[in-house]
Amino acid sequence: MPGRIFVMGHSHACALEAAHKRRVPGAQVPEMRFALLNDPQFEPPMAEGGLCPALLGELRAAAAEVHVSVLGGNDHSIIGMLNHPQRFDFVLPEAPELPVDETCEILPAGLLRGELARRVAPHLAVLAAYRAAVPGRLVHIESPPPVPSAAHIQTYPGIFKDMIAAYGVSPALLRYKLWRLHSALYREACARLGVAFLGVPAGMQDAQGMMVEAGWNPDPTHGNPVYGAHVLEKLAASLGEPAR
Amino acid sequence: MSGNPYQNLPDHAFWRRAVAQVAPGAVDPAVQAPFMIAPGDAVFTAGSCFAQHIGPMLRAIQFNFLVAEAAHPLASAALAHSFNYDVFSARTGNIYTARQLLQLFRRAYGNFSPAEDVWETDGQFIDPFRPQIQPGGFLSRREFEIDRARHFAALRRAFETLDVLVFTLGLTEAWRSRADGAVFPLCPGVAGGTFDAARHEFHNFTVAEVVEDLSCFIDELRGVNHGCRVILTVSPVPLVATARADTHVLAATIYSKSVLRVAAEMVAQGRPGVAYFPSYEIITGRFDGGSYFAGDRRSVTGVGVAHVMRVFARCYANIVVAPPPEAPPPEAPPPGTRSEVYMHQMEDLMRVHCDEVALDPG
Repeated sequence: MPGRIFVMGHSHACALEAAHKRRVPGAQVPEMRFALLNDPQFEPPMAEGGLCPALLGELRAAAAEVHVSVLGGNDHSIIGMLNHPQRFDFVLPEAPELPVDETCEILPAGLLRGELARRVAPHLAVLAAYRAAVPGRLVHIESPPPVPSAAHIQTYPGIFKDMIAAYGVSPALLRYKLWRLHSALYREACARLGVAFLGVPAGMQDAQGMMVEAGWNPDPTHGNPVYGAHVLEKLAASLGEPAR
Repeated sequence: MSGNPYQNLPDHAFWRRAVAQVAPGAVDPAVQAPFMIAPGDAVFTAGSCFAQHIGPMLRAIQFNFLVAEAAHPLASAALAHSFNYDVFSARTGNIYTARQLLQLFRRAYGNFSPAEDVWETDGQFIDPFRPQIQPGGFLSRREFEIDRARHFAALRRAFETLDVLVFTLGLTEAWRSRADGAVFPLCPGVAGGTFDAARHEFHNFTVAEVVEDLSCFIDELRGVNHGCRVILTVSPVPLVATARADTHVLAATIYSKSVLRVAAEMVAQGRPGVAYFPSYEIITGRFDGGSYFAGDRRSVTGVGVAHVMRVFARCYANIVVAPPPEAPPPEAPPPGTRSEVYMHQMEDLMRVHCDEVALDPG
């Protein structure tokens, strides 16, 4: 595994950072540096069409051999984590056999894809600037699949407590389909930009494709350090060396 | 000295008094409508591309524009428009010919099922009867079938509840299936499907055919909605192309519009509760010095549409309308609906939620 990895992203990067901190230091553990764009010092992340000076400074300081993106990753949750006042469902183009709740408004998948594309566009712009700023390998980490358990989300609602009480958690299958639509946009962008797309690690999805319980963070959308550890292992494997 | 039949005619019967000596923006060829539209009357619109102006016009003069398939509030106005929401009363796409309208009605009620009912290309499914209804077509066969079934259900509800239907006749030229006569809005191969001379043929509808199709449609519509009223109008937008190789597109346009104009007059004269509204005359009358067409001599300008709107509002509701601003509609409706409040809250909370995790990963 390369000696230095630089990770730029949003909150889903925290599972990776927490997993990294818990690893026993040693020669096999790579040096990892994280830049979380939720930090106000990186706002706005773009300047004059490229990365902002603060991020460029982080990149220079890291002098990494491998660069990782965990940019964005929750725009599908904005649209579909809770029941929309005007409930909707759709046919997932890549898996049209999945159930559809026909008691809802059925929206064209292309329309939802267009709305998601509008929402992820700022993140993809940062990814493009990231790609332009660094040579060599750049890997984007797919956002974690949704937590299937409404009970878990209700137990750990965090800041969404009142919204959940008002609207309720949306069906897991809808959240799953929106996540797949969201991931498809990132996968396509990665292919365009020359960025490797790292999907969800094996063992972190249940039979329906949602996150296994071992990976649930005590909040509605994020993976926990166990999930992060699996991602790091898969990342290491993809780079040609074992993580430990 | 005896009088003559013209002596007591009103001013609008004389070119000098009704056109030559009238300010261009005040020319009003509608005279008197056979019925009025009340504020609560549900008005359904369909037709060719000029009919796309009718819905916004009805909204602008605060008529009750019937929307049978509304856009979901998740989508921005621009995105929704690209998927043909809020263009017509339903997601019909352009209905150019009277036969297409009749055919749509019969399909919605299960009385006609065209043999060629879907075109598939590389996993995209195109509806041959509204081939440009959404960018990229339908992304799965199942989505196509669900959407079509819901489209027909929405149309049935609309047909049965509308008070007034405004139909804009656009073309006489059409392409149809040799198998069952199904009429396509666009020639197969233009926006989906593949043209095959063995399966597809050109047809230029005659006055008699247009009259027959309109009459059948109105009769069948009144079979599910006895008291509905119908306004027919003719699109002033010229043909973008004619399929008649021996005919200039200008001559083909005048022929086509003339057929439609005559047919509309015949149907309106022959049936109670059916009116003809002179959109075509307002735009093509040239009393405006040509300003009602854009530089391509085909697209209708906002000034022209506004004139149509003023006359329509005066004629059907006795409403005096000032010339509207030509600015495009706002990108999104003003915030305040439950859905918009919900989305703003989710956006704000998700940002804080992610910030919290980032600041305190645990």
